[in-house]
Amino acid sequence: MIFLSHPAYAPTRVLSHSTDARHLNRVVSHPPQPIPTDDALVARARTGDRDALGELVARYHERAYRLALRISGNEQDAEDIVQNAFLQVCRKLGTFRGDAQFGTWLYRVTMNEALMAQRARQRDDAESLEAYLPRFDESGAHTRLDVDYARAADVETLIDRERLQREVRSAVDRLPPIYRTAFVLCDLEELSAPDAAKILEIDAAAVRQRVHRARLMMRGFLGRLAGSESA
Amino acid sequence: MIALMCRDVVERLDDILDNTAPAEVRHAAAVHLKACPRCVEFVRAYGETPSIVRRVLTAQTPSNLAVRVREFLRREAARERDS
Repeated sequence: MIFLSHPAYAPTRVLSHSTDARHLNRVVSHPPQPIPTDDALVARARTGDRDALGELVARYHERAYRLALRISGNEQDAEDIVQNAFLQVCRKLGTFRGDAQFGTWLYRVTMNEALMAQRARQRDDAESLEAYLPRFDESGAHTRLDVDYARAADVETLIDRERLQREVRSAVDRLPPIYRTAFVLCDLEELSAPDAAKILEIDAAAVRQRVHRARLMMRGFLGRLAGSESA
Repeated sequence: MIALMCRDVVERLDDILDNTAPAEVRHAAAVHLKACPRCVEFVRAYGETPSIVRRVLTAQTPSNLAVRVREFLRREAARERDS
């Protein structure tokens, strides 16, 4: 039996001698191509290489779409946002210096496009989610009686999924933008605070503070929703 | 030794849960939580918020989106060349 040490060549099953020989010949004559880095693709795309641009689209379109949808709250808007974000990036490829990573840059452009789309669609009378922040009395003890924290964690079993999706999407829409972007990047896209900080162009401590405040608002909202259902 | 009220625990909850708060603050929070069921419920609910929202807002990328984006970019490039 022949086992090649590189993980890319590692056989998934024990091969016969003849199969091994064929496998080895194939590997030697057609070694796997190294996966190009984003920087290499950007450099090629800058010279007009459409395949390189296509590869960048393939790599990033899903993440860009998810971010666009979570910030804008609208599926049709999200698709337009992704297209416009890639278009902007294409137009500015010549000026991209590589100080930031391509993904960080694309995320920032997508997020700004999504915020503009969301602002254009949001009703002026939409209630801000700040109304759901916890409240305390003068001694510093909890005073909110309209939020059922005990049942908040069970909200998924109390509310049917379609309604819950609608309510939660609307709640994320109503988070003030500076909190929504930090919350979406860190808690939904699961980026680290330093990575989100690069996209938002603020420091990591400010990101953590915004995420914390957004969680408090979302927590209050979910508690109120669960409480209203169980009342 | 410091004593924390509900408001103090809530305000510093991210640091307390991340273990980035000073040891004496984490200790004081633990003491407070032993005596405050409302805060225990709050902390549990706070910790579960991101995963609940992530599960509820699962996003399905439309099929062929990458193809449509590439087509869009080709059309725009052609339009800019022609104009």
